Amino acid sequence: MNTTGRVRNLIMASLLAMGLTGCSTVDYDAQADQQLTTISQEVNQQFVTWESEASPATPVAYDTKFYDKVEADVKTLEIRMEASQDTSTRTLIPVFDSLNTQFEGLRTVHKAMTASHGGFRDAPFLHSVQDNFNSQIASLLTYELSLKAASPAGSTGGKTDSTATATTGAKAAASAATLAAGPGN
Amino acid sequence: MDWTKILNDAIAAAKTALGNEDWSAVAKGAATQIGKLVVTAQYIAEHKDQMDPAEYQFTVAQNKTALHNVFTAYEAIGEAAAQNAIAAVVKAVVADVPALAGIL
Repeated sequence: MNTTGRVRNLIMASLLAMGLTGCSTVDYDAQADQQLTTISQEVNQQFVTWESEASPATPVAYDTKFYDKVEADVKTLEIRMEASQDTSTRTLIPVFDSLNTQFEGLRTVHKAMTASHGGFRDAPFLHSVQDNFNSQIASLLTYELSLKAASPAGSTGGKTDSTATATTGAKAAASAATLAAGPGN
Repeated sequence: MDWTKILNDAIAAAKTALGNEDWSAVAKGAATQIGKLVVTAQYIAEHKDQMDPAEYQFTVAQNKTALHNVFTAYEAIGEAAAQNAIAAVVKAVVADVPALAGIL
């Protein structure tokens, strides 16, 4: 599906969310949106660098800086989500827990590989790991963007008035956009 | 090895495990993530000898976690149903590629 199709899907699902008028409130959190984007950039910049360097002849040695930064950023965002009054947003907390567990696991593997082989040597392995991080971060980003699209406050952030099922609408938008992104995105 | 058939078998297994109603709710995201798992399985099957066990164990675990997150976080599938579906996907892939037994 092309970009226009993806945007159309997202807008249609967001309109569905907006069209359900009622009593509860779903928050669009501009800062959370920005923090997710920052995490996505950190992950992709690091993995692209690693993938270009990794080979049996030039293994990528463990360096604590990336892991320290990304784990702290994910934890900070998780705490922000925990503070949210929105039930749907709070259901995403286990995803942040899971992401941090994955970064911790990768750190452990990276240390072990550095001890045994000098570091990561297999670029396709790194690409697979990057792809899995991206798909999970993209789903979280899409969720925030669907709230943004449905928010009358627009890009400045704010609250979206809707029925109790508005978050379902937002999730539908997220699912539609995730589908639109297709495999490998 | 027909990896398209293996992907279709894995998706069919998830659908059977979840039932039609739950599968309909997760089909789009889950099919994409099952595709990633099968691509990973293919890479491991073809390059296992060049990889460290820590690498392929991590990437398999990460794929399963990502699939679990698709099932539970975004579409509200229950924990037990999600675990059953992941197990069914793995069982289907291993049935087609016995060399991956104990790895996936």
